[in-house]
Amino acid sequence: MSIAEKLTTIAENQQKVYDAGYAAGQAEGGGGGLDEFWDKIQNYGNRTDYSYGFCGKSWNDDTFKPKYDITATAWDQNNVFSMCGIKNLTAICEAQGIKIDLTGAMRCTGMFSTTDLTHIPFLDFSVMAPGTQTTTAVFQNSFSIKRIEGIKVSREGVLKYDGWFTNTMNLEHVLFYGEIAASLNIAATPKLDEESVQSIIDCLADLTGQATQTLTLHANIALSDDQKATISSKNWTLVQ
Amino acid sequence: MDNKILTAADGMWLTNGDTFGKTVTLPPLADASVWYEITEEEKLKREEIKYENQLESTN
Repeated sequence: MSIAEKLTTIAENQQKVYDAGYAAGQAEGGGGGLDEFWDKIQNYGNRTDYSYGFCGKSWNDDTFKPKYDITATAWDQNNVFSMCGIKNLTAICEAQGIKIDLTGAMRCTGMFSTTDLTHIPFLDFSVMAPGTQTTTAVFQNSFSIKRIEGIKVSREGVLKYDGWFTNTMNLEHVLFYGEIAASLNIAATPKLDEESVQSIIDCLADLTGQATQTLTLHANIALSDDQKATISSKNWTLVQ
Repeated sequence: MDNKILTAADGMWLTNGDTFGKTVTLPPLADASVWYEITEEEKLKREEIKYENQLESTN
């Protein structure tokens, strides 16, 4: 089975889970079907494994109305929102009064990959567990992303940023917090605003006495001499 | 010590095997020898392979 076929199968299976859960909720709850549906999908707030949880186009701004926090704290949180049709996740989380928690998770590969997302709320990856992590392609191929409210990272929380921003060509704003200690390639984002670029530079770990890491930015991102000096003083290699 | 700036020739890209760019600004003690030039065509091939590997990892 090709990768495309696998992804299609996963999306179709997610649609079946969604339909079955909604039907079960309707059968039990009558007028409260939606409430029952989310109680069951999120196990009354006790669910911790959200891998592929909201994968597929059936999840969109009309259907994604979580009742509880997305406590994605089990070790595998791969592809939670992969291929979803949700656009403004920030607005939905605010309206529902919920947040996304990654404390203790070890895998978040493809978590927001290949989506229709335009807005993503603050995400704290610094609380992920170290060890055998896989954190590849977190936002890969989400061509529509414009704004990520914030990303907090740490040396232990994120060991690699491979493919995080591949093809995120419409991303304009993402504030980084914490410490970036591994090579970061955000070269696919020519529209990144100055505040975002500065936040990245501010978060670069001081690697004096350690192996240099690379910061790859789009060639259109104009850096001041001071910014270039800061990058170099922290023993980072700048690639444009 | 000054930074060392490497610039790719016209039509070429610099790479360390992991990332690609037209210019590379190395901090004073970094090893410049890990960077080498490749053609645009080679760059696109390598990016495609990297992309496929990343896509595979999401499954």
